[in-house]
Formats: sequence, C-alpha cells, structure tokens
Amino acid sequence: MKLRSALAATTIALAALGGTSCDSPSRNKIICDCAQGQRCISGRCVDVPKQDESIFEPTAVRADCPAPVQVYGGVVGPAAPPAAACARPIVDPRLPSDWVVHRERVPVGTEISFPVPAGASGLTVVLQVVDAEENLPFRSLNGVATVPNTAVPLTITDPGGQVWFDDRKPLPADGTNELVHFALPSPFTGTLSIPNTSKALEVVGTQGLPGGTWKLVVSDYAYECAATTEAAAICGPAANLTPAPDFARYRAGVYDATVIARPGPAPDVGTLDVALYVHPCPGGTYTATGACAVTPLSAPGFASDPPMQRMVSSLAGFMAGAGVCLGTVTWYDLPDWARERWKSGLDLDASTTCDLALGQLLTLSVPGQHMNLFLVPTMLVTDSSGTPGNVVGIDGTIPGPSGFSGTVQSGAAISAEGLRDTSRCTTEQSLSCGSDLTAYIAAHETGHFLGLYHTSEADGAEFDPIGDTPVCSCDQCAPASDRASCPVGRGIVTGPDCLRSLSSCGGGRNLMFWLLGSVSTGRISPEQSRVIRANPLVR
Amino acid sequence: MLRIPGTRLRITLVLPLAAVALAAASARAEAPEPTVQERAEAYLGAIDRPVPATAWQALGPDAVPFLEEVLRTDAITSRRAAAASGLAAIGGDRAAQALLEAAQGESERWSVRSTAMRGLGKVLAPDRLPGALRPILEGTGAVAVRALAAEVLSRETPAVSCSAIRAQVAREPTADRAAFSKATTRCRGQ
Repeated sequence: MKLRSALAATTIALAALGGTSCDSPSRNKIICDCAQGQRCISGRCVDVPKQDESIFEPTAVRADCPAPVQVYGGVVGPAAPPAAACARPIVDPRLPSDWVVHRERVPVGTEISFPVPAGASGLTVVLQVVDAEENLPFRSLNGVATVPNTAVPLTITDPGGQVWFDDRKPLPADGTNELVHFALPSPFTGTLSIPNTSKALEVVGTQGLPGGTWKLVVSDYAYECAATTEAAAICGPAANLTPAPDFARYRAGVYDATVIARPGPAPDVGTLDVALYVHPCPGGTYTATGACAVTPLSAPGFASDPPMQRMVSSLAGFMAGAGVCLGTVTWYDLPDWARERWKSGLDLDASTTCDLALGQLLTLSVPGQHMNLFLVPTMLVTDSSGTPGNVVGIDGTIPGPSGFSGTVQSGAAISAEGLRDTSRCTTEQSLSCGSDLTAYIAAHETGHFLGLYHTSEADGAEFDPIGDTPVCSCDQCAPASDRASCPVGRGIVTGPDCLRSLSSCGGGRNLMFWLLGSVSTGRISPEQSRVIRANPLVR
Repeated sequence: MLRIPGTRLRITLVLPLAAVALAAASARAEAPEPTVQERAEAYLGAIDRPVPATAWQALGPDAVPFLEEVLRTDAITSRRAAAASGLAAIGGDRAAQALLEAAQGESERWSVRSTAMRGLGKVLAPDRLPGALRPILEGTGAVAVRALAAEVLSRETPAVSCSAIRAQVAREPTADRAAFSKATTRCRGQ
C-alpha cells in the first residue's frame, strides 16, 4: 500500500463539506436523518463520495511540516539500577506553569476544587500514588480475578454542577455521548483527559470548557469498592467464594493530584517533540560471544543510520496526517544496566502491578514536554492458554500522563525488531518496509498516549468514543461464518472485514485500528486529530 | 495499549438490543467470505494486543501451509514471529516441524526463535519435546536461547529433563548461570 499517496487522495477537510445540519447521536452513523446518499458527519449531512472502500471516512487535514530537528541527548537514567525493585517515582510536571491549576497530596475521598480559565481547550487530571493497595479482587464472568488498583477520579464536576465524569456509572455501548471516557486499568499513575469524546469535543469546540471552579473527588478502585454502594455488586469474589474480602480494611490510598488546564484553543497544527530511547540490539539476537547479531543501533549515530532516519521521517509523516508536526526528536542511550536488563526484550509476562517490566523501563524517561518512545529489542508475551503471542508495541495507559516523565506510565515501548528489515523498502512509504512498519507502531502507540483508543477492538464489540471513526462491529462485519462467535465475545474483526460490507463497516484503514496490514493507511479522523491536538504534550 | 478485557470496574459493556436489531436490518451487500489465508494474513498484523489462540485455532490446519511459508521466508521479523505464534496455537505435525526448524535456526532472530521454542512446548508431545530441545540446550551459541530451551523443558517435561538441565548449567560460565534461574527453580525437587 502506498501510504503517502493514499493519504493525499483521501484528505478531506470537514470545514469544506458544508451540508444541512443533522442529528448524529450514535457512532457509525448507521442511523441518521440525512437523505439517501448522504451521511451525518459531525452534525452535518454530507454527500458520500464514491470511494474504493466500504463507507465514507473523513480524514484530518494533513499538516505541512518541516523536517524535525534531531539531536543526541546522551545517556539517560542512573548509572546503577535503582535500589527499589518497584520504583514508583512521583514527578513534577514539565508544562507551562500557568497550565498547572492545582496540585495537592490528599487521601482518596477528598474533594478538591480548582480553577479553570474560561475557554480552556483541555483538562487533564494526573493522580500519582503515594501509598495505596496494589491489587484487589474483582468479580468476573469466570469467577474471581485480580485487577490493578486503578487511580481515577470518582467524579468531576464543572462550575454549573454538571457532572462530567462519574466512574460508578456503567460504560455505555456508545461512548461518543459521554463527556469523558475512561476504560482501561491504570495503576499507580492514573490520567484522565478532556476532551477525548465527540461530546466533549463539541463542547470545547464551541465555547471551550466552562470557566470557574471545578471539583473532583480523588479516588481509586479500592476506594470505590470500599466506600461506594454502586460498586458492591462487582467488587470482590463471587458470592460462593469465601472468605469475602473486607474492603473496609483496605488502607485508604493517598495520591499526589495534579490538574492541568490548557488555556485558549488547541493549535490548528500542533507540534510534538519526541524522545527516543534506544536499546542497541534490535531483535535481541546475540552471537555466542554476546555481540548483537545485527548492526547495533547507536543514538549518537542517528544521522548516519538510514533505517533510523527513515523511521523518523515515516513517523513524522504519520503524525502529519494527524495534524501534528514533529518538532525536536532527541535520541537517548540507555545506561549499561538497562541495556543488560532488557537485552532480550520486554518480557510482558513478567509484568505485575509492582514489578512492571514496562513501567520500570518508562521511569527512565527524562523530564520534558515530549512523547517518550522506547525502542526495545522485542516483546515477549504468553496468552492465558500458554501459547506464545506476538505484540510489537505497548503503551502505559490511555491517555498517558503528558508532561510527567519518569513515572511507571510515562510513555510507550516499541519493538525495534523490524527496524533493520529493509530488504523490501523502496522510495514509497510501505508497511513492507521494516523502518516504516516500526514508525507505524510508534505512531499508533503515540496515539494511545495522547488519548486515542482503538477504533474497534479485536472482538468487534468495543469502540472508541469518537463519532467520526466508523465502527467495525463483529455482528455486522465479521465473516458470516464467524458471527456466531460474536455474542460470546470470541469473534474477531480484521482490517479487510471492515472494508467488506458496503454500508456499515469501516475503520480498518485507521491508524488506531487494532491490527495493521495491507489495508492500513494510517488514517486519522478530524475528531481524532482534535483529541491529539488538545493533549498537553502538543504545542 | 495491551488491553485486558474484563478488568473494567464498571459493568460489562452490553450492546443494546435495539441497536443490534437496527443494524441487522440495515441494507448490507455481502462480499465473499475471506479465505483462510486472507484471515491468517490479517492476524499477522497484531500491534499491542495478541491475536487470541482461539482465533488461530478457528482457522484450522488449512492455515498451516501459509503460516509455514511466512515463517520460512517473510522479510519482516514480526510477521515471522506472528506466524510462529499462529502455528503454535494451531498445532499438528506440520506446524511442529516448521516450529522446530525455526527453533533450530542459528541465524533466526530471537523473537522468532523464542516464539518457536515456546510453541514447541505447546505442540509437541512430551515424549518428543526433549529430543527437539535438548540439542538446543546443549549446543546452541547464544546463552539466552539455551536458557529458554531449559525453561521450556523444565516446564513441560521436568521429570526427564531436569538432570540434563542441571548438567548444562554446570557447564555454563558462572556469569551466565543466572539466565537459567527459571529452569533451575522449577527443577528443584526433581
């Protein structure tokens, strides 16, 4: 697939679409009040262009960007490994000082008030654990499970009394009408960001966030289980399992709570700085003498390494498609002890909420208003059946704690195993070229960190809260022979599935689809672009 | 983000029945069913969430020749590793043979080789596994590969493998013995 040409051909500015207004309450716009041949996009009926794909998918305005500046930043982290096996640093934000509207160390259950300037384009809450339970039992369909004690506000309320977020409420099937969407475990360092839904974009887009005194209640899952009645039905083991946990005995968590309010509108074209941390052995293959079996990566040598340069150029291209230019790309080396610790890659099976293989790596990130991307040799993962799996990227949380480098959630890791697979690279950007593929993975994980969920999850039953990214639902889009598996959550939707049906499936080309492949173009929708550009990392 | 379904504190997402009914009623032009190869090709593109073993298994043995070809010839390392993962999930003699070749390939990348070795632990019968992995344990060049062979053997066939593992650890340079800690821990008491 020629990514660059495909992007150019399909770039459509929503502002140019015009059209009569319409009600587009539900995502995928299967149902709307537009005429035949039209679809409801962001509240307007627009003609659906004939395209070589299933349904019309608007695309963000591509930024016209200069080449990023690249520099070498030196060796990061301490010269010796931290004494604590499970470091959980509490860090200061590195953002413009007037963006930090509140910071306080408080126990769960505390209501804090903070000022938000009228017209602010974004609000971010970061909770960094001081002390809290690490895990708690949880009822699941299969009985009992253990989940990380996620740090998340219980509620967020604006000056007019409107509740923007209440974690006790069930997750709706359609998240686009939520004011805030929060759907992933996030232990120790929890981040919640506004806007990350279509509804919030609508509010922010017209007049910005309501100015005045907002309130939030600091919380985590343990607090919800112990102190709220709504969670009682799902906290703890199944009724037939004993002994039942005594949630009241859980120690009350204490968190360092920081609130970031971004004043004024988000930029039409954003700039994102990137910090790239390099393990020297892509693929993690070594000779009998311990030397890396492929040409090592060297951060100081970035300028003379064609695959490294191609990856940066390609990453810049993908981000430009999101309306964001790469500003400064800083290359860092890992210290010797970290090179040794992660020499065979990131062992995701070893990750627990304490000894986070990923989290401990992310604590090495240097302070700054930048995206932290760690190029690791490879990643190892095993599924619950014991079968070895395969992943090539992982992000700490969605969204990440932007501007808070050094925590266990402060970035993403990318497998560099394909970076030097250049035998099929041509002058065109292509996922058959390992350097471009690595860049695509980096862009995808950056999208997560900046607040984007998968447009459709693997099971075709969970979708992002963005209205202009079509869904690819299992019961509509999976091969007919597989649809019987959909109701039990064992269906799978692939990129081609999402292009196959003519009226109701889409999203397979999107950067944030859960798979990459022959149909991937790295497309980003206008609303996805707005979420990214509202993130505090994007200047 | 590697997602962990079912760990959400909120109540499990349930698609409203009305939406399902409306969606089913909408006009839809069906394209031909994808072939097994097309399906397998799509599964090679997992980013941050692994394709479930059950999805690979649903493809059945017809997917094996394609995955075998990818494992042997594809230029992209992550695709070869994903193919090894698929073969490990599907299993069978042909898949096992392809995994064995990848596991023994001294020039193969670590991610592919390690997936293949761990996959062999799943697909080979216990009486065949030591014969496949002991040569790697005792003869391969890189310590990480030897250590992984020990780990798989200690997990799958401890009764017949732990003496060989202990002997290999004794032959290893002192500095490399820590790499065998998972295997030696499992072999305690054997």
